[in-house]
Amino acid sequence: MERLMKIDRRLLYLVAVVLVAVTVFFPLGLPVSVSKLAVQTYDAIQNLPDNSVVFVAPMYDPGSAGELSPMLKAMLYQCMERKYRIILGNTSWVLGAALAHDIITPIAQEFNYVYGTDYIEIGSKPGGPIWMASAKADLPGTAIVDYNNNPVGQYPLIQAVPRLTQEYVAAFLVLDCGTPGAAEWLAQITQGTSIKLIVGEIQMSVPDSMTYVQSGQYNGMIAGSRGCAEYEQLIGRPGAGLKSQDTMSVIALMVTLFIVLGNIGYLTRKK
Amino acid sequence: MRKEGPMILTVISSLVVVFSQYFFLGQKWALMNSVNNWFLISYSIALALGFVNLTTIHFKYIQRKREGWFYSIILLVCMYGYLVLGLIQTQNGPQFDWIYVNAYSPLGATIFSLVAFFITSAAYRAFRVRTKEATILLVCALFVMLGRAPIGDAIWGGWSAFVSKWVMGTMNVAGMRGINLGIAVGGFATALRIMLGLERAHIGGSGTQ
Repeated sequence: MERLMKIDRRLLYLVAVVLVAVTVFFPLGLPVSVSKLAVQTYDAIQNLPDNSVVFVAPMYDPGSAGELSPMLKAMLYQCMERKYRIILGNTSWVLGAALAHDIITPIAQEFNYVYGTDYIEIGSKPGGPIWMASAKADLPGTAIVDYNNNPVGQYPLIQAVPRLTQEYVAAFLVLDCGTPGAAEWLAQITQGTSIKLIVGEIQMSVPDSMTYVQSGQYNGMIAGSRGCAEYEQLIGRPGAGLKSQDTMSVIALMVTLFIVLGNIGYLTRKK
Repeated sequence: MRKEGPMILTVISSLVVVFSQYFFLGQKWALMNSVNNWFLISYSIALALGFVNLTTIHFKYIQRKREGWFYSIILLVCMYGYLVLGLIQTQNGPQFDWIYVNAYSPLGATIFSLVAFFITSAAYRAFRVRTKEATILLVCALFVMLGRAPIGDAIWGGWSAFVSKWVMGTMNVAGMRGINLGIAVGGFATALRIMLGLERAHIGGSGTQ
């Protein structure tokens, strides 16, 4: 029985790989119930005033794209269905802007969004929280050029949003996996204003962000890939988040099983 | 003056920030906008400084043929090669962009994906019912893990989700808020010490006075 305590880690890796591969090709199709938090998040975006401007900040890199890109996609779908105008950009997460560019381009085409009028990509800017504070006071002067290196001041959308304040922006949708992230947008811009702050978090950040949701500082949160699966159901567009739930299930079950086996071995040895 | 100079600069900068944030005149003059611009410029200079520092360190590694010196060559070739390519093509250059998206991006994703395997292995080896506290931790972890996946609902109906939600929304939030408050108070105290010149670790001093 003591052997149960010393299972070779390579065997664990192998089992994990096989389980992931099997569930990708043969999905279990387990039902995913929708939580109140997902409904709250959906409503927070859905109930913004018509023709609102939303600032979407993909504050992540490829390491977190598996969880956050499906969230970004789903959020963009909901925003474009509601015909909100979108400013897409971040600070300090260079690849986040590139990842988001590949996501927003086909969706914008699908909804016939005009670049510069209905949406704009300002790319990734250096400076973190300081850039946020500067953009709050002067967006065109701080963003300077867009993702394609063209001056942002020429676009009607940026002309209509000279500052990131509640007079011009209705909500911030932040896809967050670290620092700087949603907490910095909260501290620099949305705190004490009527601007909604809605976040998409990797599962690892959910415990910390839950405190901001409960205090009402975050108006909604997509919590990890499970939250994304719930949100995708609410917008009626099942995507990668929902697909990943079978894999999540079998891996959670596998880890549980190995932990139980390890403890059986441990208790047997103790006796 | 090597130490006094940076310390005087730190004190003056922090006083300007305090004045611009907490005093009417500071807000009226929009001093914070200038401070933010200074920061962004300093940030860029610091990046260049880091570039020079990295070059010096790795050049020495190569000269002295330290262990792993070959990797230093790779680093310098990548760093300078990419810099030159960027200067020639600018940030929207096709090759410059292609390398970043198709080399750096998959590497980042791969490294993060590997963490999943390490976590699986670490959970198996670390979660043992050695003490009462460890047992409580283990039970909570299992409930949260299963409660966050649809399999938890399939096994226990709504119970796993309920327990998971309670652990995350009540126990976790209580703990996290305490930690966050502690960090905030600690951060404030450290900032005050830096402003008063009592904390000198950032200018190469012995740390505290």
